[in-house]
Amino acid sequence: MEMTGRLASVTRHTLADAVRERFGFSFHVVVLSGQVLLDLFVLTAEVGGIAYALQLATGVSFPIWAAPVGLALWSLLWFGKFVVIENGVALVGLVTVCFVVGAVWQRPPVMELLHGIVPSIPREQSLKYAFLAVSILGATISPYMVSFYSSGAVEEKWDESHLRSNRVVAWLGMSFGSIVSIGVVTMAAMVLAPRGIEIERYEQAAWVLAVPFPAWGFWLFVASLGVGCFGAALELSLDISYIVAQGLGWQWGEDLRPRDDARFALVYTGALALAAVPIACGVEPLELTLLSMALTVVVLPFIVFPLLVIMNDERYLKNHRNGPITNAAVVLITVLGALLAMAAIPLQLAGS
Amino acid sequence: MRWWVAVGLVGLAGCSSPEEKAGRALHQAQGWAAAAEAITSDRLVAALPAHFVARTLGTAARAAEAHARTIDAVRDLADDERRSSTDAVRQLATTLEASASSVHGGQLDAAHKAALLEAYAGVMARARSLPH
Repeated sequence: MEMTGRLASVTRHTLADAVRERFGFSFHVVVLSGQVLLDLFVLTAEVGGIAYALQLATGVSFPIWAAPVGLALWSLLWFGKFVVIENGVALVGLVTVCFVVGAVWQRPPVMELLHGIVPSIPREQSLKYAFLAVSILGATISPYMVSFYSSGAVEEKWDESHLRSNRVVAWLGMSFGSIVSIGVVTMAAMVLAPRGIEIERYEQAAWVLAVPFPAWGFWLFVASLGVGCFGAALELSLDISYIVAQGLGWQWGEDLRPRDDARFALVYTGALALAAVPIACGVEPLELTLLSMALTVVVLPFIVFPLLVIMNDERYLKNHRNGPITNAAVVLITVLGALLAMAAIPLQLAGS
Repeated sequence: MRWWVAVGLVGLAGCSSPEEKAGRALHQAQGWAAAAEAITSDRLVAALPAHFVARTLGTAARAAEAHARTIDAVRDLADDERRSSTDAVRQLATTLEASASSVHGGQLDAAHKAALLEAYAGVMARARSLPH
């Protein structure tokens, strides 16, 4: 994220703009198609997550919620401004801090917690845990975040004076997400593992907060699931419109009226309609989420490597190019994640 | 190097023994039983919406039945082992279904709770005997 924010601040280019300009349209259209498909897949999972949160809250089955959820998302995109969507999502997303508070409240053994930082593969169900590790990695570094962030920076007209705030925003944002993820995993380890509960459905995930905090834990889980998925769905819908419009050279911008960038608005309208269909047909959102997150890691190298080439190109970044440590870290995480994903996904699909 | 070993382990993990397949299904059924026991406890049942408790018990019943079928399909497992494990999980599925109906009908009574605990204990005893 920091890299694409830097790219936007220095060059006023979004990632899609820069890739099309640097590598040509023929190459870009391949990457674009892959990313649009992946974004659609993840968007479907997020729509499913919101619908499932509503099912938990009301008892009405999640397929029924697919169309109202799609309509609510569309309305916000159609009538809302970028800053409202961005700040609104960030503000209500703070509800997920409950997982961090809960994890601290549970008083996990510190030494075991620190030991968990070192990557390891458990002897039992190693395939399942590898698949979960890949999914968590995919949820943490999704390609849509990269292109969405650069588009947002251009929408907000960032320039070189924003480089410092870009660094702070990227670090704080990613750290916040990572700390919440650690909170969720810690809560699962403290609440579910001792009872031998393995999560197969979202209902079981609700127990992470419902068991230790009977009075309000269930409702906090429902709010976290709904709000988290709603924010991600808004960003994904916009991202699909951004990358298609930028890739094909259309007028784009969430702050423009839909009549001024009709094709941009048409893309997110179509994407939301497509994403709602599988959920309305009853496709299980949790399985879809895990699979879409794991597929993200497979696709990631095709997004990251063009970005790396651009981030090391003096013509674009001048004296703000990547250093060797950043390059090495990005290559290492991306390649290892993709290798693990390519091994784990087919085996998990074949075995389960 | 560590990651290559991990990838190798992942590959090997695809080939699990009959005991492991049955053990995994038993442990997952046990997880559902543990969760059902937790949400029907006096502490939680009053705080959770009744539709959630009923739906969860119904989902748990269907999941347990699916796990019973999985165990029953592991033909390489010794007959006694397979039969008693399948029966224990199927008993759990039946109890969960009855509990779901009871919650739908109003409230979960003491007899249903006792039956749930008994079925949970039965699955737990079987799960201890198999790896997962």
